[in-house]
This record gives sequence, C-alpha cells and structure tokens, in this order.
Amino acid sequence: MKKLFLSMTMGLFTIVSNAQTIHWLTFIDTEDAHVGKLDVTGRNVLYSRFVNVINAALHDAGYKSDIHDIYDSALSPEKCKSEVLNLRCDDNDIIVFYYIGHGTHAASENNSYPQMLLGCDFSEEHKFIPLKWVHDELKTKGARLTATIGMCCNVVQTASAKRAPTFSVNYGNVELTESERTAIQKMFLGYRGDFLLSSASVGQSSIGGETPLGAMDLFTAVLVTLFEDMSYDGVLDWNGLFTEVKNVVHGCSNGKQTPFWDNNLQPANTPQPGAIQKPVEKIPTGNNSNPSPKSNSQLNLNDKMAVVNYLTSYFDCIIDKRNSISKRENAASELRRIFTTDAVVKFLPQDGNTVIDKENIDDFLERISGSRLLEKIAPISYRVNGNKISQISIRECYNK
Amino acid sequence: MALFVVLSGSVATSCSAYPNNASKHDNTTTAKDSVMLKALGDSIYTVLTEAKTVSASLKLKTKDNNNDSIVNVKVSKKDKYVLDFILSAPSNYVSDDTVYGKYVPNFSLTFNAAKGQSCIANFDFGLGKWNICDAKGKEIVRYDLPTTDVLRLANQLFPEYKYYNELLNLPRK
Repeated sequence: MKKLFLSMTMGLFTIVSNAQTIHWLTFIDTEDAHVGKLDVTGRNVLYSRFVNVINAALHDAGYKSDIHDIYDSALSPEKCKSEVLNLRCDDNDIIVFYYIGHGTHAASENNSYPQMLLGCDFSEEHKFIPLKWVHDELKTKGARLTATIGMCCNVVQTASAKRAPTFSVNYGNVELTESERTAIQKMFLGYRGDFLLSSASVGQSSIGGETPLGAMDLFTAVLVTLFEDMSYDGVLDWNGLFTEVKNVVHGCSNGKQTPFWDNNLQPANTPQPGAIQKPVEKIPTGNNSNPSPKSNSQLNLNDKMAVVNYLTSYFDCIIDKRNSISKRENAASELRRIFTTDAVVKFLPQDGNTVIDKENIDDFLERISGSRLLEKIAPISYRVNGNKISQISIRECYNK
Repeated sequence: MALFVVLSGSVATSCSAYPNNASKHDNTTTAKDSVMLKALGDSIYTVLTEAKTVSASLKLKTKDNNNDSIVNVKVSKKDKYVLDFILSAPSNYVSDDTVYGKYVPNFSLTFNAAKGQSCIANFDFGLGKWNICDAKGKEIVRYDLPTTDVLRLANQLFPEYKYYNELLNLPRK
C-alpha cells in the first residue's frame, strides 16, 4: 500500500514538475519618438543576452518558457493590464516582468516605485500603470519566484497617485558553460518569493544613449553585461547582481540614476527536473483572423505570440535529451505539418539580425531531434504562405 | 568592466574677443554670456536679455483632469535681474540627455522684447529639462536643468503650489 501511495505521489509529482514554466512578460516601447530606436536595440539585447540565456539554463531543469513579448503597436496599458490579470501559472513556475519605456512618479504616491506610461502621454495620465500594482498582482498567481523590473524614469511630475490601473534577440549561437547554467539555475530555482526593482530612485530619470551594446537604455545594458560576467564566474544571486548593477549605473550617471529594489526571496529547494513534453497538437489556420473560439486545437498563424510559444514548446520537447529519440522524432514530425514542403530555417547570431546560416526544414528537424548539445531554440520571426509557415528565423543556444 | 559612455551632449566652450582695456568684470560677463549666445543664437538671446517685460505662467490640472487652467503673474524687475543671472549660467546649456520620461513642462516664462519680438522658456522641473520656443510655439532648443535655481524662483512666484515645495524637499541620493 505504501509503495502504491509512493508511486502515485511520484507520478503526481512528475506531472506537476512537467508543468514547470518560466513566464516572461516584457513590455518595451519601441515606437516612442525619443527612445523608440534605443528600445529596439534594448529589446534585442534583453532577449539575446538575458531572456534566452536564462531559458536555456532552466530548460535543463525541466522548465518550459512562456514568452509574452509586447512591443511596437501592441504596447498599451490595456494590454499590460490584461496580460497581468490573465496570466495563469502553477506553484513551481517563475514569473519575470520587465518594462522598458517612459515612467513617472506621483508626488503623493504611497510607495517609491514609478508608474509606467506604456506608450501613453500625459493626456491619458489616467491609464498609467503603477509598477507596484503589477508586482502585487503577479505575486497573487502563486509562482515560486516573481520578479518585476521597471526600467523607466522615476521623476516626480504631476501625475496623480494610483493604486491600480483605472480603466487596460543575441541570438545567435549562445553557448552556456556548465558553471553558467548552474549559476543561472541557482538564481532562478534556488529561491522562492518576490523581487521588485526600479531602475531609478524617486526623483531620478533613467537615461539612455550609446553603450557597448548599441544605443539603448543604460540600465538594461549594464544588467545583461554584469549578468553574463557573473554567471560566467559562477557567482550569481539577486542581491549580488543588482548591487553591482546599481553601483555601475550610479557611477556612470554621475549619481543621477540609482536603481533600488525590495528583495523578499528566501532560499528554497530546487524543483525536481522532468522531461519536457510536447504541447497539444494544433491545426494551423493561415489567414483566418477569426478562428473559432471553441476550437482550441487551432493555431492562428496571424497571432505571432501564440505561434512563437507554440513553436518554442515543440522545440523544447524535441531537443530535451531526457525524452527518448522516438518521442523527439515523433514531436518533430508533428511539428513538420505546420511548415510548407520547401520551408527554410534561417539562423541569426546572438547580436544583430544578419542571417548567418540556412537549412531546409527537414534537415533542421532531423538534426535537432538527435542533438545532444542544443539547450534552447528561440523562434524570432516567421513568414506564412497560405496556411503554413514557409520561413522561420531562430537563434540557438548550445552547451559548451 | 567596460566603461559605459552614455551622455551624448556637447560641452559648450566660451571664446570671445574683447578690448585690451576692458575691466575684469566685463571679461567674466562676456565669457558667461557668450555660452548663452552661442547656445541660443542671436535673435533668441536678444529677446531674452533685452526683454522689456517677463510674465510667468503656471499650468494647473483641473479637478476633472480634462483641462488645464493657467495662472499668470508678472515678473518684477528685481526678479528679472535674478532670472537673467540664472539663465546666463553656462551650465544651463551643456546637455540634453536621453531620458525615459515625458517632457511635460508646467511653468513658463514669456519674454517680450521690442518690436513685438517674444519667446517662451518652458520648464519641467520633475524631469529636469527646459526648452525655449519661438513666438509660434516651435521649439528652438532643449537642455537639462543643472540646478534648482529656476524652481526656487518659480516656488517664490507661486508659493501656494505644493508640487514645487515637494520637489524642493525631495531627498537627493
């Protein structure tokens, strides 16, 4: 009886751990007249040197990634509110929220964190969303770790205080060493709780300009650079990393910008890894912009976020060495169905968007379903022909 | 750790010719004003320095947050001298850093000179930036505010406006 109970518990645990996901909610203002161009670079750098690297490290520990990458015309307070409220997760999941854009601070606010403009200007001041509200909402989802980072100004202007919204790339072949992977896993899986950060203190601006990574915001450039250095050295933890970030940002800005944070994280046991399973098979729809809401077996190829997450889920399963070869090949042949017969895979580097290599879809899927070195494949963009994908651009991350 | 060179503003330098028998005071004034002159150009510089009248405006949000109300006061001659002194400081014309905040000035100074010439200086003290617009409202220049001097003057002109008091009392890191 005890053995039966134990095996049932282990089975249940495996099912639970298979659902482990790191949810990324990134909101980046790439269309603003003043900072939009910097943020195009900032977004690419954030994804290539931070998001994808962390996803690759956690994939080894059985974590899928769920990307909510909101930028360009999709960015709005309504979208942010709906993404935050509608996010669902399990108790072993991780949530990371990252905002790059304009911000402000209300003089009578009851906390030190900024309000995010999310593409609005002051004529729509009632739509600004407090970073603290986002963090408090995300904490209620019950994830094991919730991190909220706001990269924006925290200057005191004339916006009114708000408690809640009042209305709604590196890519390229990233290579992870064993110590980098271990350090990143420890940082994201070795703690439970929540972490909230603002890139500037009250009354301060967050600045942007030329950085070694291109023209972008200073904070994100410093963050990803120090993140790389410290994970390479194998010494990565929340306070250590962000203390270094704070010191560099403060120094480079001559004291004009000082990040600050609240760290409510406690050491925790790392969850047991399980092999990543393939998602529910979906039939793609091409140009149908109104798929039947009742049919959750249809993948709308016009919904970029859904397609990227769908592809990511399949790739995660196909490259997971814990799955049997037959399982990986089976997933690959299922995924093959959403591509045209002559579909091409284009490979992008970690930084920039110049194509460095190409492969036809059959060779690509065959190769990755047998690879023992791939840690992560990140779909970046795709093209549709009829109701199938004819071209996809990706970035790969390898074990070193 | 690589150094991050972020600021893209240019440093204004002063250079001027003056007569050999000019006083030491004249040398200092010329050097100071030449930075302002170079930054603003002749016509705006002339309007600012030779303005016959200056008025200050405060833009307030109404309770329904839909409209702005404007409060105007005339700047006295005494305060005009102080303003001239503040605005002629070279540090006002050094940089316009890219920042992740919206420029929403709510304090303005309208300079009226002879022959109907005028210009408007607008200030967002929270963001720490100011600009000058021509009579038609077109922006000529924008710079970072280096000190709280103009804010303190604004606070004197509108002492009941709490927001300026709050800004002045913000702790500095």
